[in-house]
Amino acid sequence: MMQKKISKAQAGKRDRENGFSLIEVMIAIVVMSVGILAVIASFATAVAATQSAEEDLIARQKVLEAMESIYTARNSQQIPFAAVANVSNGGIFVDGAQPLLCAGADGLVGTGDDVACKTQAGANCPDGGAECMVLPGNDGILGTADDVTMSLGNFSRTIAINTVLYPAGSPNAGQVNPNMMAITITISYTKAGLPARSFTANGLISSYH
Amino acid sequence: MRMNKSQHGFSLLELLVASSIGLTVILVMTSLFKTGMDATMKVTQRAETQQNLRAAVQLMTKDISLAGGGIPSGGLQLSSAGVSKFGCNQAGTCYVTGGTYPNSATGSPNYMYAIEPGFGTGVQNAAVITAAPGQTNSSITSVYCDYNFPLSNFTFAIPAAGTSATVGVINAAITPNNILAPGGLQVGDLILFTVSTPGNGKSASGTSLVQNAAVVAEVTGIPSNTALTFATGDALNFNFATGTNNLAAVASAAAGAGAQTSACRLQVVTYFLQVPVAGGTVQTPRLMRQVNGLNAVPVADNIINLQFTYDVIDSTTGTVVANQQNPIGAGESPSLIQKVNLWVMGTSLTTDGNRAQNMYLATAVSTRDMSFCNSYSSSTTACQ
Repeated sequence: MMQKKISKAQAGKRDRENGFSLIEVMIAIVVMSVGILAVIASFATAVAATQSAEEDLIARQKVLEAMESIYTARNSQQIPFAAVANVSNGGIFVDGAQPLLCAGADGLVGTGDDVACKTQAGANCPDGGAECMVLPGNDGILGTADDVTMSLGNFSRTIAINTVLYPAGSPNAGQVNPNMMAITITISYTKAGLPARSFTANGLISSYH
Repeated sequence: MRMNKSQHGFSLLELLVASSIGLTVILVMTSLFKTGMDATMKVTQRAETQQNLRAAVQLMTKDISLAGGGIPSGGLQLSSAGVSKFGCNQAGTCYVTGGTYPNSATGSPNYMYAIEPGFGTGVQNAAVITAAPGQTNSSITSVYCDYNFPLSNFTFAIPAAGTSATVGVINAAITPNNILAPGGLQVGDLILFTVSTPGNGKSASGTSLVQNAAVVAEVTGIPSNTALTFATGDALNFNFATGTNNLAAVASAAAGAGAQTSACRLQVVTYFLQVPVAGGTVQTPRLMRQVNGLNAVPVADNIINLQFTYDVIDSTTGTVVANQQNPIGAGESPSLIQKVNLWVMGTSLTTDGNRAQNMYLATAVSTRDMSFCNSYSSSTTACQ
C-alpha cells in the first residue's frame, strides 16, 4: 500500500513535470495569433492612413489653388468685387460641392464656365472631366501602353462665400461690411475602405487691392 | 511501467500534427510579414515622392508669388548694347537653352520681365528624361527685389566711368552693416540701381519721386567690404559702357540736383530640370534652382516632368486668357501674367522590383506684385 501510494505520488509529480500538452500548446498558439492579428490590424490602419497621405497633399494644394484664383481675379480686376459671391447671391461661384473641373476662359475654378479637363496628350479625362494626369505605369516610362491615368474624380470642391459683419466696437458694428467677404473652400475626397476626408481653408477678401 | 510510459514524449503522429500546425502558423506569419514589408516599401516610395513634390511646389510657389516685387510693372529696360542672359553661372555654363530676356528686335533694349516663361526649355542641355520621353518640360524665371538683404543701409557712389561703386554705411548701428556679411553680396549677384528726383508736379506738395534712371548691374568683384566692381564682359551680359541703361547713365543721373540713388539686390530665380551624369551613368532627373549668376542647386530629386501655363491679360482685348503655355505673342506679354499654373510629376527612386510610385501635384500661384495696383498713390481711380 505504502509503496503504491508513493509511486502514485511520484507518478503525479512526473506528470506535472512533463511540460505542456499538445492541447495546451495549441491553445497558446491560438491566443498568441489573436494577439498578433490585433497588432497587424493596427498596422493595416497605419498603412491606410499613409495611403491617404497622397490625397491629403493633393487636397491641400487644391484648396490653395482655388483660393489663389479668386485673389488673382480680384487683383487683376477681371471680375468686379460684387461677383465674388456664390451664384445664389448674385456672384459667379457655383454653390455646393462640385467636381474638380478645370478653369474655363476666366481662369477661375468653381465658376459656371468650368470645362472638362484634358490630359497632356489632349485626351478627355475620365470621371466627367475631373482633373486627371497620365502617370507612367509599371514600366516607369511615360508614353507607353501601360500608362495609368490618375483621376481626381473622387474629389469634390465647395466654394462658399459669405458676408462679413463689422466687428463689435466699430461705428457700424453688426452691419454687413460691403468691402469684405469670407471665403471658405472645402475639398473632400472619398477613397475605398477609408472614411471621407476633407480639407478646408478660410480666407477673407477685401475689395481693396 | 507507468512512470516509464510518461517519459516516452510525443508519438510520431503527435509530432507530425504539431509540426504541421506549427508550419502552417509560420507560413501564415511569413506571408503577413511579406505583405507588411511590401506595404512598407510602398509607403517609403510614396513618402519619398510626396516629399520631393512638396519641396518642389513649395519653393516654386514662394518664388513665383514674389515675382515683380520692387520692379516696374512693365518690366525693367535693360541695356541696348547687348542681350542679357539669365540662368547662367560665373563659369559660363548656361542651364536654360535660349535663356535671354525677350527683346523685340536686335539692338533694341531687352526687357527683364517679372516672369520669364521658358516654354520647352525645361531640361538643361535638352537632355532626355528616360521616365518621360517626348514630354514638354518648361523652365520658369521669377524676378524680384530681395528685401531680406537691406541694401538701403548703404550708400552707393558710382564714378562716371560706371564700372565700380563705393559703398558707404548709412547707419553703422544697424546690422548687417557689411556687404560681406553672411547672406550678403557675392560675385554674380545682380543689383538694381534706381535714381529718383523729388517732385512730379502731380500733387501740391510735389514730394513724390520720379525715376530718372534704372540699371541692372552684375557684381564682378568685391575688392573690400566698401567697394564693388561691375566690369564689362560679365557672365550675364549686364555691364556695358555703351548704349542705354548702363551704370554711367545712372552715375550722371545721380549727379543731378536732389537725386537719390537706391539699390536692391535682385533675385532672378530660375527653375529647370537637370539629368545629372556621374561617372558616365545617367542618373534620375532633379529640379534645380538657380539664382542670379550663381551655380544652380538641386532642390528636389526625381522630378520627371515640369510644366507651366499662364493666365495672362490680352492687351488687345483687355480680357484674361487662361492657360497659355507661352504668353509671348500678339497682345500677350510676360508683364501681363496674372496667375501661374504649375504641374510637377515625380517618381520614386526606390523601385520595388521594377515598380516605381509616380504621382503629380498641380497648383496655381497668383503673381500678386504683378497685378498689384497701389490705388493710394495714384491721382486717378484707374485701380478701382
